[in-house]
Amino acid sequence: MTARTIEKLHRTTPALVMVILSALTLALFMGSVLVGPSTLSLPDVLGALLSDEQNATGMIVREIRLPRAILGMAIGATLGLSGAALQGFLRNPLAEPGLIGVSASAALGAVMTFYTGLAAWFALALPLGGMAGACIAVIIVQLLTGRGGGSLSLILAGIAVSSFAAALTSLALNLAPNPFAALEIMFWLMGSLADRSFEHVWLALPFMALGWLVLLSTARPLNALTLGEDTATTLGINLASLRLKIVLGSAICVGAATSVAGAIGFIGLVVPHILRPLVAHKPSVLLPASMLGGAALTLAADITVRLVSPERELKLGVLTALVGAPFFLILILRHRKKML
Amino acid sequence: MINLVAKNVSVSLGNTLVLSGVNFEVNTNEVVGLIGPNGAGKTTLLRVLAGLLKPSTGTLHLAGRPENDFDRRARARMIAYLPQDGESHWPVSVQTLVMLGRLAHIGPMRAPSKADHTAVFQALETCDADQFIDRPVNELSGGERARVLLARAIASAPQVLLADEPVSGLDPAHQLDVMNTLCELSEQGTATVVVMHDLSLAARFCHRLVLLFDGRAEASGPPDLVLSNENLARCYGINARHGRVDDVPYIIPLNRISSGTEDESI
Repeated sequence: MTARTIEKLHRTTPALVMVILSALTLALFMGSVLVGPSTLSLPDVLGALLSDEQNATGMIVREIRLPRAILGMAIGATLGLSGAALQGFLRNPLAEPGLIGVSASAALGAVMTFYTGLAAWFALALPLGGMAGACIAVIIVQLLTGRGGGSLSLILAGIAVSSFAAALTSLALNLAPNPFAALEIMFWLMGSLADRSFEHVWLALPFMALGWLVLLSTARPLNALTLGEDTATTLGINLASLRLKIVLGSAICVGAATSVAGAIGFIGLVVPHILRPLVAHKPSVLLPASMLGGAALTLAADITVRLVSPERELKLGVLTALVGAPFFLILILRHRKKML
Repeated sequence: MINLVAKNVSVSLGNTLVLSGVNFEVNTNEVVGLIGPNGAGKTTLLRVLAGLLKPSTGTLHLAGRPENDFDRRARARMIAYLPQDGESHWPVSVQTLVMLGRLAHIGPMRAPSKADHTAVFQALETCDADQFIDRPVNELSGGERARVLLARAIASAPQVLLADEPVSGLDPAHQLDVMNTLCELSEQGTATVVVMHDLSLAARFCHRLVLLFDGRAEASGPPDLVLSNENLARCYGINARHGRVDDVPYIIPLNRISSGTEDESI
């Protein structure tokens, strides 16, 4: 085989993976709009999406299901992309925004804006609080692990930051002035897409998109990091600027996502891990693939929670943790030899 | 004519002076061997030359200009660095890995050009590794991986190649292959610096040797002068036997000189 045919082969497989993932995401997006307490047919839904008739179907589709589906897709894309970027940067398949404390701290940030009344005062406080929480978490984890931090120290630092953020959120819950405030705070702890409106979409989506752009710009430096930090530097990569992009990009999009949907764990861990072999392990291709895969998985999980128990809806974050935690355990068992 | 010149370079790591006042120079068509006992500062000097470590004092000139005249990418196109025990963190294909060597040649948001593919294939051929091109790097043996990583370093067509112990951990046949490759590259114009522990290979393949000891350049010049019995005794603490077979020099370490004469006087 010549170099060119091989390169062609390496390029077509990831391209096919992208097409399949896009189709899957689109199908699940439609599925998310179709599934809910009131049974709607596909023509009804399409009709409601394409017109602005003020009937019940139109209201349900446009004001309840559509924002939920859009948020599910965008938040899933955020978690998948951020997971892939963090794994590439740390060269560690166990990294994800939840495990390194970003999600819990973003939830804490959002809870604080709600608790202090800032969120009621101006709406943007919510995503800004989430992003601030995420930034602080990333900085602390970086300080705890230092430059040459291995997998174990990273996970330990992540656990420490996560636990502390969760403890502070619990404290807010504990001191909640009334049961309704407590319920609101619980929302961020569990993570859910239920009852989200277009207001939430407009609050979070611009920040998520900004974070995506920042993270997607790291594709080439992440490839270079395959050879380690020293070699990447001699290949012309500015490591300090790369680290800043990864940290800020993750904090912006995960912070914004968490502030409107709470902490949804394990999507960012599972998706890049499953997709990596399908894109020939190339960190750059894994970024967009994990975006699509994250969107598809989150939409699928959000459809599942609605189907499994329609009356007393399971929280999305609870489901992803129930499925994701055993997956993480298997990963750790597989990597145990490498880590110890 | 390209050269990389370090003048009066000192490096402190913490409170330890790792390099003190080292002068070093490598020119086109030259293979310079960097030798010395463990901890002498060989890797540190190589990292300074590669721009990975800022020296506390001293200057670095590339092609007659101060090295900070060059931006990251320009520098990356001129100097290639092959670290010791290089590894690939992801099991990407050999093609993908070697293409990373072309990174500074490929414009932002551009795909690799025909020239890049040709350079990758030629680098693999030079290192006798073209048959692995579609294999994942994690499935290669140690010797195969070393050749692929060398191909990565030379795929950028560097004017200066800095290699840290490229032959350690290789069997004798592959050691000869790698050293021959480095010599061929130098004949084509590359200025090569290679850190080595094998004194026989150093004597045979390097045009010039620099002997580092305790952070200082103790000796520098043609191999037979630098590898004198006196230098070997002082820096390595060994007695060695020199010889030649068919004009190929060899050095056999005979025994360790016990440190200090006090031991014997007791």
